[in-house]
Amino acid sequence: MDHEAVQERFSDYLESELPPEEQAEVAAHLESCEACRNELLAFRQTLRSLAQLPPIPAPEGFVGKVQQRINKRSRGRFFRAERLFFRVPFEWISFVIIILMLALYILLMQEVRPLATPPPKKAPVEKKLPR
Amino acid sequence: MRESRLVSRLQERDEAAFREMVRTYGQRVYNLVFRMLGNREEAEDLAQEVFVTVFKSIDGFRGDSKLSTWIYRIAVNHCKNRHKYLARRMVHARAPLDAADRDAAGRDGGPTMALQAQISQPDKLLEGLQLEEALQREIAALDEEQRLLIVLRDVQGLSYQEIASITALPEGTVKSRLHRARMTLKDRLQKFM
Ligand SMILES: [Zn+2]
Repeated sequence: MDHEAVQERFSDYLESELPPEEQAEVAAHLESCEACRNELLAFRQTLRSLAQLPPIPAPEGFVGKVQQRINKRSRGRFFRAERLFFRVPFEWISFVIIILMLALYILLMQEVRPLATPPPKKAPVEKKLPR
Repeated sequence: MRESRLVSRLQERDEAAFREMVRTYGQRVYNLVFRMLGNREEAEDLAQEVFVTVFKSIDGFRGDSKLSTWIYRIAVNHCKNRHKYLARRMVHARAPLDAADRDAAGRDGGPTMALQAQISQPDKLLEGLQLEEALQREIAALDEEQRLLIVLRDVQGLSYQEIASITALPEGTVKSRLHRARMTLKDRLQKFM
């Protein structure tokens, strides 16, 4: 194996991806060739430096900004599914509950009043109904 | 949260799931996009676009690949399109990764501290910083595909399988092109090592 063939295999050699006999050939060449040893050293150093590059922090408030953009683009309809199925019905449900409670309150008041006041003129009215 | 659960919640347009997804993948996407474009403002804008697309197309995600792979694929497509767009507009003519960008990226703050921890002697630190700067510059000078492979594999540490899936290149092609890119970087960085 010549220098070029050896250097061609640096990546595979370092990642142990070569067939065993090629791996041995590369190792043997490196043993006897200082130039390729130096190249491999530089190659390794390059990989190490790349792996050590510090991550760049995401911009501040990134999550919120993406969300804003989505809401803006969709004119607030993006997360619609959730809102339609949960938020809007809640409005209707609470409206219905308030009406029901109001009705219940009126009903109760009507029932309480008859008890507090003397028997009503309800009976005559009811008697009139069959006719 | 398990990925399948996260995906189904995303498909239900669940805002909390959405925030979690952006928190989980935001940094990786932003880093990829920043390295590909070399400009902080462009990168922030594009990274946002990536997640807008992720959300617009989440219904089409069938779980054939990992969610992260799928998101990366979207990010890579956006980078390619933006490159074409910038090339047309000639905005790209400016030197990537200029000093202002690096300052904005906090290069003189937090990340440097990690480097300081690794390198104790002051002149070693300077050497390290010079190498890092040179590295940033040389990554930016690679052609688009080589840069992508270097960033995915050597900076972000993805597997060859994932990279093959993201780039739609056969694994063997990924390896040989990556090797080319590494050799190019090595030669250009020789004087800093
Ligand atoms: Zn040799």
